[in-house]
Amino acid sequence: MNETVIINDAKPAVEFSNLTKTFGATIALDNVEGKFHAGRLTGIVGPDGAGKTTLMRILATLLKPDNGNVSVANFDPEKQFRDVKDNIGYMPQRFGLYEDLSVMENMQLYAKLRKVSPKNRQVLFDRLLDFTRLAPFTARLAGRLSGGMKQKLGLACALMGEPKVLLLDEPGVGVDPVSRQDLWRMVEDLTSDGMAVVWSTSYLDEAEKCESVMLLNEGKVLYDGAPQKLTDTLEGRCFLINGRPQIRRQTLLNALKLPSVADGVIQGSSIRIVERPNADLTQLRDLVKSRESIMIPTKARFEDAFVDLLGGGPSGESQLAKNFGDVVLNGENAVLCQDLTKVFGEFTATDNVNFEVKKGEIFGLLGPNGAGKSTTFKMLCGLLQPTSGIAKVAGYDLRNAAREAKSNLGYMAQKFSLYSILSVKQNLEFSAGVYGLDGALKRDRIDEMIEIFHLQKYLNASPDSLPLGFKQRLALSCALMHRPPVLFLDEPTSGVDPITRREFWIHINGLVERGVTIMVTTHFMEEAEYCDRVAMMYGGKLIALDTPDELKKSVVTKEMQNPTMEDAFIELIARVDAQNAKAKAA
Amino acid sequence: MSERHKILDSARLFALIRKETLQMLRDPSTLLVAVILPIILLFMFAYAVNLDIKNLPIAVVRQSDSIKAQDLEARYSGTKFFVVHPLREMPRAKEEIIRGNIRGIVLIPANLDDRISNPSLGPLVEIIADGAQPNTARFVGNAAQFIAQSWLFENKNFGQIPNNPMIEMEPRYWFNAEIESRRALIPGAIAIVMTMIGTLLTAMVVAREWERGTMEAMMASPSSVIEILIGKLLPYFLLGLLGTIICTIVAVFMFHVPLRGSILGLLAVSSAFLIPALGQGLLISAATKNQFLAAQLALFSGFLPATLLSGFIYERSSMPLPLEIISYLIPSSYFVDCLRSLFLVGDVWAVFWPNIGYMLLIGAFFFWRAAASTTRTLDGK
Amino acid sequence: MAIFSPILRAQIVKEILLVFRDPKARMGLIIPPLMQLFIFSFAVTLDVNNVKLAIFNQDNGAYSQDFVATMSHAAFVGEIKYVHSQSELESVVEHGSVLAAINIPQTFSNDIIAKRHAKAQVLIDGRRANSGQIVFAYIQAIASNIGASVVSTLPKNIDAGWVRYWFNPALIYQWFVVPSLAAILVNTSALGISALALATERELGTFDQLLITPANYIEIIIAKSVPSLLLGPLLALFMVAVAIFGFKIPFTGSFPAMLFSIYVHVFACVGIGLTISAMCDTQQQAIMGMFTLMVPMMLMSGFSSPVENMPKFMQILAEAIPNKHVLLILQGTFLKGQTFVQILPQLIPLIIIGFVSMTIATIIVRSKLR
Repeated sequence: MNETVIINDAKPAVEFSNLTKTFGATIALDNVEGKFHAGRLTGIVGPDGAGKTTLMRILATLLKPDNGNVSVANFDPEKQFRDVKDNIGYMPQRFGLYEDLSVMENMQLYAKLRKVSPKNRQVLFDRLLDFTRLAPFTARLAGRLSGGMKQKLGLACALMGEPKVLLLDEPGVGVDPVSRQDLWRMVEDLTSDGMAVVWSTSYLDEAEKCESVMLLNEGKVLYDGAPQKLTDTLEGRCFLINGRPQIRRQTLLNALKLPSVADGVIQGSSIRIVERPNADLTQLRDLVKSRESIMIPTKARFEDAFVDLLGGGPSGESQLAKNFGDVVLNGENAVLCQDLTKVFGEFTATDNVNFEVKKGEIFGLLGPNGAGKSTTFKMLCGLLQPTSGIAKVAGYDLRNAAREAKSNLGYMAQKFSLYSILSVKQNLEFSAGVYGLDGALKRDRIDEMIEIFHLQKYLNASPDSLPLGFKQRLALSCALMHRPPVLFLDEPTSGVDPITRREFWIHINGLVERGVTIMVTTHFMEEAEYCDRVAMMYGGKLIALDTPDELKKSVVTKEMQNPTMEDAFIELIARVDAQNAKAKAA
Repeated sequence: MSERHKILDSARLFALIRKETLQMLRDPSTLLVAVILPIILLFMFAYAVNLDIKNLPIAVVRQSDSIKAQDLEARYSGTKFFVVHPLREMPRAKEEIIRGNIRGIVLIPANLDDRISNPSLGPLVEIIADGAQPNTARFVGNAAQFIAQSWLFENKNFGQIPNNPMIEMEPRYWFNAEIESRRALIPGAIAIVMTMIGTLLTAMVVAREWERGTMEAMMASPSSVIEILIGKLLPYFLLGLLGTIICTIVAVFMFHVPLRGSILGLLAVSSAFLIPALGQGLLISAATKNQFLAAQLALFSGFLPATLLSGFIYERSSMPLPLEIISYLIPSSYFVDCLRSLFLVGDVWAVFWPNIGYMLLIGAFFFWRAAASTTRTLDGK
Repeated sequence: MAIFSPILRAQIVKEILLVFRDPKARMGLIIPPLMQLFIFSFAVTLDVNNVKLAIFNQDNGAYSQDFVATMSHAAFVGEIKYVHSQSELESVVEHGSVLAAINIPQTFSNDIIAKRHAKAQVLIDGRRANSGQIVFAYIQAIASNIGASVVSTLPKNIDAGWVRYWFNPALIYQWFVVPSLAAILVNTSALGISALALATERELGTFDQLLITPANYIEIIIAKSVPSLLLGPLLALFMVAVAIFGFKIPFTGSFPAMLFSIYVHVFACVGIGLTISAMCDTQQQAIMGMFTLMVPMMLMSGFSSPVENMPKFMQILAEAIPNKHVLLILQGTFLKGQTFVQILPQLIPLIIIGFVSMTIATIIVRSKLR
């Protein structure tokens, strides 16, 4: 019936005003107003609890607003919800793929629900499969796909029936750069076809690529417009400090204490600084000079603008690191992999991997989903037995001294794995105890964590009910109470906003200064820049191992003068693919 | 309203049913409940819950060596009721009964021959049964007495008076002349399996969709709530009927239970039962949205009553009033009632109709409550 | 490493909290046993009462009147329907409105008076074969009594046999059921808690986290057993108390022996539950798996019918069921005055089952680490 209705450019595809939604005492959306246009990619960004998901759900008819006018594809989601549903594609945060159905079966289900005629179905499927590069996997069960493939399949399912408005709630979480590139390519194609795409994210490099962004914070709109316009306001306020990479973390820590500095992060061997508007830079320049470094202006990024808009990044010293004490490690290497191999039946997940991580180093393990990095990680944690080779942590072989090795490592994952039935306090007590702490020592460490991370008011709450930032603090506390010399971080900040991420890394950087060794996996290239060295894995093999700057340098070409970490990642993998193709041809 | 907006669209519904069926067939636990469990249950009811008692171990303590005493002892050894341990000493027999190795003692006294000629000396035999298990004890007592009585009766020349009673009650067991207990238990097995499929499995799979977040994507699609629910329930409805048919085939061909009613009647009463069973599962999952709680609730509001209160083992009218009232509120009581007639008598529609009516009534109540707690939005507004 | 290292202690505290902290889950652990106590101790009786009967009395004589009157006052009878034709009699049985129907022929009283054999036909609903048999026995007993009063003038009969019921002279059904419940409730609750113990953590993703910690698999198994080992005996003791003080069932045997057996029983049930749990990936599988095992375990335990009555292979299988052994111990220690030595034949298999199942569970959990 609505096929004849043409959404013209004048009329936005999504429009809302005076929109308010509360859950009990919490105000999720507070008098929000906005317009999303057809043919345009709109990003919704904001820290955790900003109201992104609530807005998405209201647009998808799944929540009723308390107040306000909403129009989606010219229909009212409250009264004309059936029309709205016909015209939208929606991909929730945990996309509802049926894990025990195959790729094709999932697609068919959504095609039929959206009444794609059998005639058009084949054409559409071919296009979507081509689009998602899932064609070789149509018979595979969705549950057996990698994270990136799952998101792509989710997108394909959301696209059935050619919706006018596509709502994507954090589709980039847990997706490797290669798959994320695919996702972007797909979405760009769609907007050029005239679809209105709404993409919510806490990754600012994603937001930067959107044509328009709406920045939400605590239920209010802070900014609405082109990302570049916001970034432009920072022109001339961003600097890179180059010089002595060995002490860059120390320098950053000192810089962040200065009132003139709004934000600062590690970027490869440099430090990226954002100054406050009209600030006096004398102190900063003195600091740079004292560290035998130089400060050069650099282009602003959207993330800089975002953090600035929210009032700057967190600063200060890590109390955690201060109390931690200097780490003593037996032997030189904190982590060692020697010819490490794991075979599952016919499939070699990890193939002769060799690397060593020195004490006090931040070591990144990168690679696309399914490259073998989680298998390697699991072997180092003692979750899997290597088929051959040696894995050592803090000098202890996982094979014959697993208990000692495990006692010397802390582990934290984004998935947190806290016990939701237990209270915050009980989670802390369990973690302390299970790592062998007892008596007064145990009490002291727990009290210390509660104090450092301000957990006092949440002690009796369930971890599930905590704001994301606090959940992360709790997970970190649980991993660190036994003061391990080696800390494993498994996608520690996936889906986390930049402010919370900075806070987290202040602690990590502080710990490294104390001699703690960090081993981290991430899909988030910004985070890879924080590492001293990065190992790239692909197809079970180690394909590159160097500092972030060197990796970036290794892919410089005429066309790509200034590659980002993400460019390096994609290029290194492309090279291996090309090599394999050549070998196959030969 | 346009064609696209029908509350019930056959193509969409079919797609949902297909999806559910595929999922169902891929989960090993479905197979376990629909195929393995019926076979195990029937097997149990045929052999383990056998109320037709035989082969019970007893001791015969024979203190007399007379020919008559030996003959009487042989009589005990010769029946299918007992496995006899011949003993001579009472203390030994007593120890055995305390240890639970024997269920009873038949004491043939030293002066058996005298007692036959002089009744005032006491009974022919003294029987002791292990009262720790009252049902078995009663049986042991009766059977041991009966054997002594018939031995006495067949040897009339011992006594002066014929022993047959003045008034004789002549039993005729209708529909089950062989009085095999397994025949009466089969309907119970079917009711249990159907409750498991209809209530427990359904409650868990719906709760799982909430837990895994697939429900959110479903609700944002153009499918209506009614389509989603029917798409979910119909495959389990059919699985339930399949369970009934498997039970019936196993019962008829493996355990030789007669099926005197028609397949049509069987499907009709089973269908009527599945309405409240599925409704209950749906209500439980809508109320809990959590697999563990759903399973707990389904077990205690579905399985337990179906096993203990539906009347297939224990007589409903013999229960205390509160339990009897509960038994009227659970659909499995009506189902068991129908199935008993269906297997042993035939299609007695006079029995079926009221029972079907009650089942549908209970079903309507469950669906009404489930619909009230299933809303279009995530926060139930 | 000491048995109660902080590592193990932390896990034990965690397991106890996981099981008992959530109020909804706590209700799930407490309400069902109470419900079972109520239902089992009152409903689960094969005694039949409140029965509906039909009588078609074609005889006007005194004896039939006497018979009908006695029937109508009998304790087991709830209601008597008087019908007036053979077809009506058959139809009430067919429709299930009565359990049994008695047809008294015209000649009934005259036959008795003439000291001939008087016969009446009892039509019993075979659909309810068990209750039917019991009710027929009651009817027969009433008939024999009336018959005996007629022949009492004759010389005394020889008594074929006297029956005495040891340990439970009045054959009170609850004396059997309530102590048995201690075993059955332990079985359901311990099996339920432990079958979900590992599967739930695996489904929620906390299991890997646990394996990363220095806790080893033996500690994991021990910690996972604790909630059942606490709750199981507590439930059992509660039932024992109900039996002794509520139902006034005599306890004649060795109390420590019984208590010890209950612990061993819980241990064995936990082993079986953890074995199921270790094999399953999801809660759904664990629950269905537990169920498929629990039903035969209940039915083959000897609670519903004697084990000796089952086919040989099932009797062998029943040896592997903890319920079978512990039921005998409970009956024996309660009613038969069994001592520690006398329960050994049951206790030893129970201990073996416990160790075997725990070992299997440990091996499976360990193999998951590869």
